[in-house]
Amino acid sequence: VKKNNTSVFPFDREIFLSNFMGMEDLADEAIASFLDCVPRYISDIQGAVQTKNAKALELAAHSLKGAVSNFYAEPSKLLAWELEQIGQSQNFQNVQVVFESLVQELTRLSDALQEARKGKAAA
Amino acid sequence: MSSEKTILVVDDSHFDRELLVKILTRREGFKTFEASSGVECLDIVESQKIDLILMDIMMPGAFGTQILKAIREKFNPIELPIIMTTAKSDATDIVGALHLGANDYLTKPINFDIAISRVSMHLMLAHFSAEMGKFREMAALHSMVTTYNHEINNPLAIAVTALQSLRQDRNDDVSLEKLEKSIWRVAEIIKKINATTGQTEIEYQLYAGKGKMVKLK
Repeated sequence: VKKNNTSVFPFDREIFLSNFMGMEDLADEAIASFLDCVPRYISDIQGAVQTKNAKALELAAHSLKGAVSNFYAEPSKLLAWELEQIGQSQNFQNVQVVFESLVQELTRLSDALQEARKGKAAA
Repeated sequence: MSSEKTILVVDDSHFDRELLVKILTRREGFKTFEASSGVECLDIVESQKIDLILMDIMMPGAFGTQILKAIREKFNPIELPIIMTTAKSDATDIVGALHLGANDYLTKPINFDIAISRVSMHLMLAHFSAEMGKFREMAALHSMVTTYNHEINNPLAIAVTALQSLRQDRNDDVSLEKLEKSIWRVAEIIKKINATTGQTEIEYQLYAGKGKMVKLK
């Protein structure tokens, strides 16, 4: 189980923006859309963790892993991957610790994405 | 070409699906449909004219590979190209999907530039394959016309010769019989032409596939 590494930036803004090929409005919409989806991602994973539903955990974590990878958010992606592995292995031993780390990391990521949007708006 | 083409994006993740749809529509002007499950995907494929599918391998319910298998029972990879999307770690799934008839795959996070290039390339391949099919049909028709032309010319030449003989001798029974047989032969060939041209395009393709001239009995 890995702890949150707060020294690592929660996402790679440069690579994320370059993928949009200059369509900054679309990048901004992607951030807004992701921020809307975050509570759902967390509640899906939380539900699977609480009920110890391995398959649901695997799928929910996989889905989140795919979403955060669009932002090149490596710390979040790693934690989502760990939860996906827990789901696959059906070994729930450390699930709560990883889940809490993920929630913290998603908060950090959401804040950073919000900042990126504000920065763009200010510019 | 892109603005006329319709892409179906299949992904259970609303965020991933919406992102891809926006890129495809705004950047390239594709018409898009969205499906969040295998059932929805199959419904859309049944009811709409879809030119290409972008489908996530891992979805709840039916996996992408199961949906792929169901689609391939009705559409071959030329008729309906399917590009699978997946996380990098799913190497086994990628190989499995390619074996089941996926045309290509994209790894997540999706590089949109690469995604658009691959979509365009597979649409182009499908377009050229359809054009090649039409060329084969044209070649088959040409072959048939050549055959019938030859088949008509022979009795016609006999008929002309018989007619010339009859002009000289109206009681030439042999020439009269030849003329009569030739005209009937031409009539038979015209019947065959009518029958052949009434056939479907698939049957023309059959002629083309065999690469043979059409034989008349």
